[in-house]
Amino acid sequence: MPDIEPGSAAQPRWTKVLDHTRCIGCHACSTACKSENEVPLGVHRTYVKQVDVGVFPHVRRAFQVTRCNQCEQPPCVDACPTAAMHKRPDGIVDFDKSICIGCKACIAACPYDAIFINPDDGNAEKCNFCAHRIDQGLEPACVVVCPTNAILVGDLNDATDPVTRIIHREPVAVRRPEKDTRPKVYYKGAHQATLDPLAARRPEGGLFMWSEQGPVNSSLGGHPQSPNSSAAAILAWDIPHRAPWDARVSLYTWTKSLASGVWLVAAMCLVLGVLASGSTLWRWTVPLLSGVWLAATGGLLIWDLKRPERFWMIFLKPQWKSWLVRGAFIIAGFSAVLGLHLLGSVFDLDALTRVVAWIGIPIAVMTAVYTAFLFAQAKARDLWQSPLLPPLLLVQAVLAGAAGLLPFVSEAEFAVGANVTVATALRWTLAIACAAQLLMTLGEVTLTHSTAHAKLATFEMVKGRYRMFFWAGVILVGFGCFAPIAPVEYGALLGLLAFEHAYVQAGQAVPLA
Amino acid sequence: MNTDTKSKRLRAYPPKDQWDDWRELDSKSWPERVERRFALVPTGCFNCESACGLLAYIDKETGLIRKFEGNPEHPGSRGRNCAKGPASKNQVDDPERILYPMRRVGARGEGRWQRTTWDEALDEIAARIRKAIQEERRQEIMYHVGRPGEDGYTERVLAAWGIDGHNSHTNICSSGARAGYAFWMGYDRPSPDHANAKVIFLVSAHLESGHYFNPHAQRIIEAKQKGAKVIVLDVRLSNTATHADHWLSPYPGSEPAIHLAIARHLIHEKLYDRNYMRTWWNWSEYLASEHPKEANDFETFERILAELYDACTFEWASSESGIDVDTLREVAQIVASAGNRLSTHNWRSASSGVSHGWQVSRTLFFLNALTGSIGVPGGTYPNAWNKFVAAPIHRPPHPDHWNELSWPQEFPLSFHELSFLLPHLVGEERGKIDTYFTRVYNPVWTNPDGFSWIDMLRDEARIGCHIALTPTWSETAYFADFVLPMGLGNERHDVYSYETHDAQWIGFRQPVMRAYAEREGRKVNDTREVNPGEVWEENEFWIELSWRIDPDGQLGIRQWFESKEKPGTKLTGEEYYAWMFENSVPGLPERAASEGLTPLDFMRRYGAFEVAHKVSCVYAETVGVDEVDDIAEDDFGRIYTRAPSRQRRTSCRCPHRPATPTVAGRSVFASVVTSSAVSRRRRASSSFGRRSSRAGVGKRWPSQAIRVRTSIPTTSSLARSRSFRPSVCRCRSTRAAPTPSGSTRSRTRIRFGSIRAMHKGSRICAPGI
Repeated sequence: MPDIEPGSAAQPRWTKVLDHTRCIGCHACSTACKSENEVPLGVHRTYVKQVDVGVFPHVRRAFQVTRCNQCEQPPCVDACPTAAMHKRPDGIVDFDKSICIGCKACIAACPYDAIFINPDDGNAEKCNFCAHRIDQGLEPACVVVCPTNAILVGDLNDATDPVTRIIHREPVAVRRPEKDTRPKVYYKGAHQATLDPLAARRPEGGLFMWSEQGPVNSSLGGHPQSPNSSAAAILAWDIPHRAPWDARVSLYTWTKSLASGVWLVAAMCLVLGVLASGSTLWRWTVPLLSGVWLAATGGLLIWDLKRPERFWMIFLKPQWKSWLVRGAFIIAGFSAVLGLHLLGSVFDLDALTRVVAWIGIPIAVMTAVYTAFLFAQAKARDLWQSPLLPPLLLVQAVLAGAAGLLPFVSEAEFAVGANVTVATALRWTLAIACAAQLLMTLGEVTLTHSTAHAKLATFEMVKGRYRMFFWAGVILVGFGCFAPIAPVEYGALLGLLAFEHAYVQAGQAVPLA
Repeated sequence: MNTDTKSKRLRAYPPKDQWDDWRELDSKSWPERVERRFALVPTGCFNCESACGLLAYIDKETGLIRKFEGNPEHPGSRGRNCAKGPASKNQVDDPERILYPMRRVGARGEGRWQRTTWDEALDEIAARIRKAIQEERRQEIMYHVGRPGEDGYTERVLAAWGIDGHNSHTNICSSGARAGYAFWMGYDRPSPDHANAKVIFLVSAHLESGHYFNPHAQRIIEAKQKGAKVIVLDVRLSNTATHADHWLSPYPGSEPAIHLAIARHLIHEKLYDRNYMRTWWNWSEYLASEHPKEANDFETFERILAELYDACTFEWASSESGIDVDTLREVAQIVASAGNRLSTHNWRSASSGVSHGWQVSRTLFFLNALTGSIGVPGGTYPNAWNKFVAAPIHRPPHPDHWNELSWPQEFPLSFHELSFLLPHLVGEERGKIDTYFTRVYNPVWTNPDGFSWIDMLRDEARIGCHIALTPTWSETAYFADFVLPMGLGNERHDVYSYETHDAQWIGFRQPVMRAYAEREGRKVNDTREVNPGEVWEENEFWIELSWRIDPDGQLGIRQWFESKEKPGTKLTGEEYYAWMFENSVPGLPERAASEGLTPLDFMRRYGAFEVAHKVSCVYAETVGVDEVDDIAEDDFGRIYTRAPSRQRRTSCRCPHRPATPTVAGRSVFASVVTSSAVSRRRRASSSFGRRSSRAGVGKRWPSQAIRVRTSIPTTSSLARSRSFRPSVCRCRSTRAAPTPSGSTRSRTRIRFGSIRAMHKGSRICAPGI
C-alpha cells in the first residue's frame, strides 16, 4: 500500500473528477476499462458521449465521460434484492457477481443508466472505480491511461487532496442531482448539453457519428422531440441503451393483476354476500384460477432473471429494502392464502375458506399493489414515480379479476339472497373498474408532469413508440365499460395487457445518460 | 508532467523494481481477492506512428498477455495512451489473424490459399531475388511500405542487396506538408514544442487524430491549462476544434491565404522578430538574386517584404476563405502575441491530396520564420533535432542504381516516390516487378484507384511474385502469392524515434513473450518460438532471406548480415541491437550501467531511453573544429562540409539565442529560409554524385550522408553555418536530378526554396505580386 498522507482521514471516501476542460473525447478510458475489466463487446462500463453544441461557425463538440456516479445514496443498492450491489465503507458502490440473480432492478433504479448485464455471465456490472486496483493502491485503469489527465481520482475525506480541492474550489457539477443520489463523480467544465440527457436533440433516424443505432428494445439517446436546452445541441455519439425490463415484465404485471384480482373480486363478493362460500366457483374455480395465474406470474419473474437458477437467493439472501424481495414475500404470502383456501376446499372446511377470505383480502391487495412500489424504486423512471400508481394497480386487479372470472361464471349462478346473478355483479364491477382505469389513465396523461422525463415518457406512451399499445388499451378498456350489456371481458383483458405494455415500456423509453 | 492534480494516495504504475514479479488482484474474480502474478514487459504500440510505450502484463500462470498498459518510462507517451493502446490486445486475440505462412492456390486473387512453410517461402523468394540480382534486374525488386514503424532497418536491408527498391505511401499522405517544410529548412517535418507554447496553431486535428496524437494531445492540453491559446484550422468539427479558442473552418485549400494574411499583419505592424530575421534569414542572397539594383541591406529587405505581401490583406483572405475579417484579425493578433513561443503543425489534412497543398505548411511555417519561433522553447523545431537515429552494426553503401518505377525522371520535382502511379508506370511497360513486397500497406484500399492496383496485382506478367508481409488479411494481401504473417507491435523488434516534443528519445519494440522467456532464463533463438502460430518478425526474416539470397557470400550481400563477434555466422537480432545500444546511443551504456544492466538489457526492461532533454536552439551552437571537413564555400559565404562520421546528440540548453553568435572570431549562422537543395545540388553535381544526395538512405547513416551547411554572409564577416541535422524521414525530395541536364532542374529547385517562391510559386497570393 502506498503511504497515506499525514492529516488525511484513515478511511478514504473515493471520488472522481472528470475534467472536461481537458477531455479530448478520445475514448482511451473506454478501451482501457474494457481491457482492465474484460468487458465484452456491446456493453460499456464507461464511454464518452458526444454532443455537438451550437450553430456554425460557433459550434463545438462537448464530451461527457459517462459512467457510474458512485452515489452516496445509491438507488441500485436499495433496489438490489440480494445485496450484490453494495456500498463499501470507502464509498465505492461495488458489486458481487456471485450473488447477482440478474433481475435488472439495479438497472431500472440507476438514474444514470450506468449498469448493464454482462452478456457472458448474466450478471449486473458497472464501473466500480476499479476497486481491485484501489485496494492495491493503484489508480483506476481509466485514470492511468488518460492522455490529458482528464480523469482524476481522490479522497473526499482528505481536504488536502488535490482532487477534493477541485471539488471544493472550482465550479463542478453532478449529473441529475434531483434524483437525490448525491453522486461522488464530479464534472468540471462539462456542458449542460451533455449533463442533461434530454438537452440534446436525437439525430434523425438514429444516425450517429460513424454509426447507426437502434437494435430491438433499445432507447436511443437524445430527446426525440423538444430538447430541454434552448441552445442548439445534437447528440453526435452515444452507445445504445436498452430497456432492462422487456415484455415479460409487462406480461407479469398483467398475470399478477389476474392472479390477485380473480381472488380479490371473488373474496369481496363472498364478503359482501354476493357469492356463496359453498359454491363451486369459490371453492375450486377461484383458488385454482388464481393459482394458475400466480404460477404464471412466478414463472415470468424467474424467466426474466438473467441468472434464474439463483432465484432462491431472493429468499435466502434477502435485502429487505428491495421491493423485489418484499414483493416475493408478499407473493409467497398470497400463495399461502391460496393454499389455505384449497385446503379448506379439499377438506370441506367452509369456515376456513371464509376466514381465509377475510385474511386474504389485504394480502391480495398487497399482491396487486406492491408493484407500484417496485416500480417507484426504479428511481430512474419518472413516469413510475406517480402517487396514482398504487390505486391504479388496484383498479387493474379488480378489472382483471372481474374479467378473468366472468368466463367461469354460470349465468344461472345467483347470488346468495339477492335477485342478481354473480355474473351481473361481475359485469358491473368490470364496467366500473374499466371506467376507473380510463379516468386514472386520463389523469396520468393529462396532469402536468413534474419532470421532463415523465413528460417524455408520457409522450412515448401516448403519441410515440408505444401509442399503438396505449390506444388499443384505451379503446378495449373503454369497451369494457359496456360490460353489463355486451360480452367485452376478453377485450378488456387484452386492452389491459396492451396498456400495461405501453406503460412499462414507455416508462423506460427515456434516455438517462 | 502535469501531476499537480493527481492524488498522492494512489500510484499509476507498479514500482519498477517489481516488474519481474508483479502481483495484482484479478478484476474478473472480484470481489474475491484472487492474486495474479505478472511479468511486465515493455514494447511499442504499432497502431500509429507515435509508437507510444506499452507495458505487456504477462500472466505467469497462463503464460498469456493479460493486458497492455502504458509504459511510464517512455518519454513521448509518459505512460499514457490513446484508445488504440490498450486495444492492442484485440489484435493479439483476433480470431481472424494470420498464423501461418500461406501461398496462393489457383489464379492470383481467386482467394484460395494453402498453408506453406517458412522454408519453402524463403527458398522460393530468395531464388527469385538472387536470379534478379545476378541478371542485373535489380530494379525489379521492390519493397512497398505503408507505416514503417522503425528507423532504418529495412532500408539497410535494401541497401545491402544493392537495390533501389524502397517505395512508400507518402505521396498520398504527408508529402505535401513535407514539401512545404523542407523548402524552408531542409527538414521535412515539424516538431512543435506545444507544452511550452503560448500560442498553438494547428492546421487539422491533432488532439484525437493526426501526428502525434497522444504525445501531442498531452502537451497541447498541458499548455492550454497554463493559458496557451489554441487556433485550429480544420474543415471538420473535430475534437480538436472543441478545444480551440478559435476554430476556423475555411474553404478547403484557402488555408494559405489565412496564413499569409497573418504574415502580412506581422510584417506591416512590424511585429516580427527583426533581430532573428536579420540574423538567420537569407535576405541578402535573396536581394542579390531578385533585386540586384537595390541596396543589399536589411532595411531594404524589410521594405520589399512589406511590398511583397501588401496585397494579402484580411479582406482578401476573408474572400478566399470565407472567414470574416474580424476573426482573422483577432487570430493574427493572437499569433503576434506569441512572441517566439508559437508552435505550429500541419500534417496531411489540408496539405494532402490537393494541388498546391504544400503551400499550406509552407505558409504556416512562414509564421514561425517571421516570429523567430523556430528551434526555441515553445516554438517549432525541425523534426531531426527532436529525433535520434542510432547507427546500426553494418552500414552497406547506398546502391548506385536508380528505380524508374518509383522515381520516374520526368517528375524531377516529385517530393516522394510516385507510388500511387505504380500501376500506371508498370502498365506503360516502363518496367516490370519481379518480386514485390508489401508491408503495412494496402494500396488496393487506400489509394484512390484501387482497381488499377487490382489489375496490376492480378497480372503475373507485371508482378512476378507478390509477397504480403502482414499480421492480418487485407484487400491487397488478397492478391498476393505469399502471405507471410508478421508480428504485431508486441511480437517484433524495432528501434524508432519520433519528434514528439523537445527532446530526443529512442523506443524499443520487442517480442514481449521472448523478452519474458529470457527474463525467466529460457533461451529463445527465433521469435517464432514465442509468437502465436508461426508468426515471425521482419528483422529475423530479412536476415534469413538475405542469407538465402547469397548463401556463399559471392554476391557481397551476406557480409551485411553476418555476426561481428563470430564472422561467418548469421547476425542475430540480439547482436544487432546489443551493438547499437552499446555503440550508437550516447548516454545509454552509462545509464544502463548505473542500474547494473547491459544497454540491451536496459532497453529490454524499460523499452525506451531519453537521449536528450530540451534540445533547444541547435542552430546557434558553434560548429566544432572536428566537424569541419572538406570545406566548400559558395558565393554568399556559405560553407559546406562533409558530415561528421557519427551522429551526435544535441545537448544545447541555451534559453536564449545569441544575438551575434561567434566562434573563433567568426559569426556562425544558419539560415532557415535557404533551401537545403542549394547545397545538395552543389554536392550532387560535384564530387559526390547523386548517390550521396539520395536522402532516403544517406540521411540515416551520417557517415555517408552529406550534411547540409548553409550560412549567409553578414556585412562584417564571413558567416559559417551550423550543420543542418539530417532529416530522418523517408523523404527523397532532395535528390538531385540524375542527368547532366539536371542542373537546370536543380536550379528550379533553388527558386522554390528561396523566399521568392513564396510569391511567384504560390497560387494563393493575390495577382500582381
